[in-house]
Amino acid sequence: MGNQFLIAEDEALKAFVQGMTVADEKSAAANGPTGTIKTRPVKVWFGYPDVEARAQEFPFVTIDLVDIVHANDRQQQGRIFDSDFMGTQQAETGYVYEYDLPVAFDIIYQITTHARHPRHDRAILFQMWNKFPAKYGKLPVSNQIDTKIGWRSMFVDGYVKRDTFEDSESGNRRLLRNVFTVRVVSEMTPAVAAQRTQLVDEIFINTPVENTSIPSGLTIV
Amino acid sequence: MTYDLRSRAKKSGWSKELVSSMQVAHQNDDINVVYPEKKEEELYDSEYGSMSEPHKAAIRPFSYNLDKYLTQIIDDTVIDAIITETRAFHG
Repeated sequence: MGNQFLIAEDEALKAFVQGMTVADEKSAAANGPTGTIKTRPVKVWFGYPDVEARAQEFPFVTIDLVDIVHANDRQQQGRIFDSDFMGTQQAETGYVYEYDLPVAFDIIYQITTHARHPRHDRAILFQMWNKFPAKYGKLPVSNQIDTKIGWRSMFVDGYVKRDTFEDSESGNRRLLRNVFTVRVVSEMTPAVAAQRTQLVDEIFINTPVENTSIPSGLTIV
Repeated sequence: MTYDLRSRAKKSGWSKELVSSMQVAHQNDDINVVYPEKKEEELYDSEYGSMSEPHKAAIRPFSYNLDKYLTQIIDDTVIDAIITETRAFHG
């Protein structure tokens, strides 16, 4: 069973950003006799690595969720008919699902790249912008029953360079950072929305309380 | 809008001084967050995170929710126009 709204996008975005590599003198020194350039993978984390929980090996990339907003500009109203309940149920011959159009959301992520070495920084920048050509990108997200892939549009809504330089006073070392603000279009499927909706079945007003566990001396008010 | 931006920043944990230094201003159809230049570094560190601190985004969530203000402005403008028109033509 695949993941639902939000978790599915998280996983898909992490998989999308993964796969970048960097090369430097240290990796070149480890070259084999064939002269092939060895590279190091750029690890991807959700949130900044806690130094006590895991080693901080530069370079790395972090993904943070910034916001989830209703995409009012994309929201449509109406009824839809399909055979797999928008990828949440296995299709059965002769059965058709009818439901309201799902709720449109934009999920906003911050993708931050961290590097100590300028070459790593440039190599990561090059690969990141290749993942988002012309500020756009597409993210493959599998449906809940893992039968199909949907391609979600992504937009780079912002990019800032946040380099910090060596400071002998504070002891900080040089850190080259790039911050991308990425918007992923999404929808909350009707099955998920139904699960999240709490229905009130019965309301009791002024019903006498049959409670025998009241400590002596206390009066129910 | 300034109030909303500031309350978002406050909830995100921005310093009191930084929160009160920000304002939302517009010129024609251009809406901006204005702040003293000397606060830029601190503001960017709060918004995007720093070497050791994760982000405490406030300006971006504010900007992604701008449509609700614009809807309100448009609604108010349309209602004003309808009232003006009604008075002009129907007394």
